[in-house]
Amino acid sequence: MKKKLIWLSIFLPGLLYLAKWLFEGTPIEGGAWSGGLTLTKIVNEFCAPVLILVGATAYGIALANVFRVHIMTLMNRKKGWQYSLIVFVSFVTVFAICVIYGWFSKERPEGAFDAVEFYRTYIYTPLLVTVLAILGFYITYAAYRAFKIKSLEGIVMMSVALIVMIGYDPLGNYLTRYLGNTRFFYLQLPELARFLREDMNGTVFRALQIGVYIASLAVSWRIWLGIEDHLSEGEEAK
Amino acid sequence: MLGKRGIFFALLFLAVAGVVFGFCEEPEAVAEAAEAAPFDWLTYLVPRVFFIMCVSLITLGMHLAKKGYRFNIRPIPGLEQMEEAVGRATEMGRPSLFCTGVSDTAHPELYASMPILNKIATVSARYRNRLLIPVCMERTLTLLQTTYEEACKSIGELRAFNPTDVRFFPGGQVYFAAASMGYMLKERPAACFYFGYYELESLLLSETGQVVGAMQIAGTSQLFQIPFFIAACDYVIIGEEFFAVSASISGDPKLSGSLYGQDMVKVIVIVSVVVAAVLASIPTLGPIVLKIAQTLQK
Repeated sequence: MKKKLIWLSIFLPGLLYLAKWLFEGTPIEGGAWSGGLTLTKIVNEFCAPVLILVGATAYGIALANVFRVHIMTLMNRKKGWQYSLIVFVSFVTVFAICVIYGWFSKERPEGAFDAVEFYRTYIYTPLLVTVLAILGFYITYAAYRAFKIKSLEGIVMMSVALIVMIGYDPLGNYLTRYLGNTRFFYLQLPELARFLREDMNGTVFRALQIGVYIASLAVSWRIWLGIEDHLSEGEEAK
Repeated sequence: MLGKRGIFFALLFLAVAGVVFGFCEEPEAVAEAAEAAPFDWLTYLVPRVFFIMCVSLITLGMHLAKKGYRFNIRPIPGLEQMEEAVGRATEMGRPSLFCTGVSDTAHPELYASMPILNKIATVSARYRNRLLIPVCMERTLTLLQTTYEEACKSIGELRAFNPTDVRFFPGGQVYFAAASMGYMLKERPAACFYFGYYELESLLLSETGQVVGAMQIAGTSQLFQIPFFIAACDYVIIGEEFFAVSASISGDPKLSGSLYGQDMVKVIVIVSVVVAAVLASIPTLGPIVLKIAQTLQK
């Protein structure tokens, strides 16, 4: 019973969305004969609020998870309990700034101090940029490891990477500028880099993408028909 | 009751009827709209016909499997190493980690990674190894938690399930990545599994996994993230292989049949690409072929 209910909760909304996509713009979709009720209208006016409701409930559950984890860490004085305390202090502060302060300062004179803007500019954005800076460091580190020449594949990768890197740099143009007016113009580094990146890489990329799209469709279709039952498997199914 | 096959054929009939009916009869509303802007039948018809063809072939593959045809799936190396990775983590007395990245309920990657979570959770529970699951999207939390719990229940090891090991890190992908990195540095997992929809956090997480010395297996359909995973992980499941994992894990013939259907679709796509390339060279047919290709690309 539980399994069937879960499947129906996937199947019926899926049916509605599929029907909307299939019949959009055709008489079957509704309109004049259905008193103005179209599938698009049903989806937009009835399904969208349900999705918002589900999303809000999910956020509530997720917040409960955050509190549960950190309250347990604090209560049991587990390793790193100080961080959990910071989480609570941050939560209360941001909540106070964004909700309470934001609510009471709606009619603020222009140019006056804005705590929400202050928080966004001086706390939120710098933290965001710091994490992105770590990403830059990691890319360099990963590239260093990936381009270590240990095998034939390593040599090929390194060579291709060098051509592409120099080809997209003014240096590449400068180094092979003499080939421009000869019959070997295609050996210019910018031209080689473009060929490797757009023609060779682009073709493989598209081939992989086609496979991914078809596979995504197959997975969605299997879930919709209830064949992929990992989502609905429970005690009852075992 | 119609049954699954009945439902499929009813839908197929409705779809074909809708397409045909949509062009044979033009009601007033559609006719009025057509006067304003001519209805582009090609844009309407091409994706829908392609969709119907795809699902028909996939369903045919499943039907053949049900009838007794058997299709082999070649072994996926990353998949075979999962148990070893969890075993290694258990021996080292360190936890394992499973992450779906920024997968949300709209991403098929999330659903494709659930069988993998099920398998890893089962192995972890059997070995009494902790499984950490950082979560970015609130809507996926319950799904991940339930899958983990059900996997533990299925082998009678519910004690292995610790709800606080499934942790939600709010604030969006960058903050999720930062929090997960901190979580990884604190817990030092010895086996990390990254399956799902990934964006910039792919490298942040996998490099942190490298720092803590974890054995790492990743799989994503996000092609831009694959090079990062290849640079940082021990095994990577690339592109569509990722969607074949559930069939490979479960051994269900119907799922293998659907893979056969997918392959048939791919053969048709390859033939179409070759034929379209030839037809596009003919001046009179070129623009139509190009329009069909653009419509499919959308």
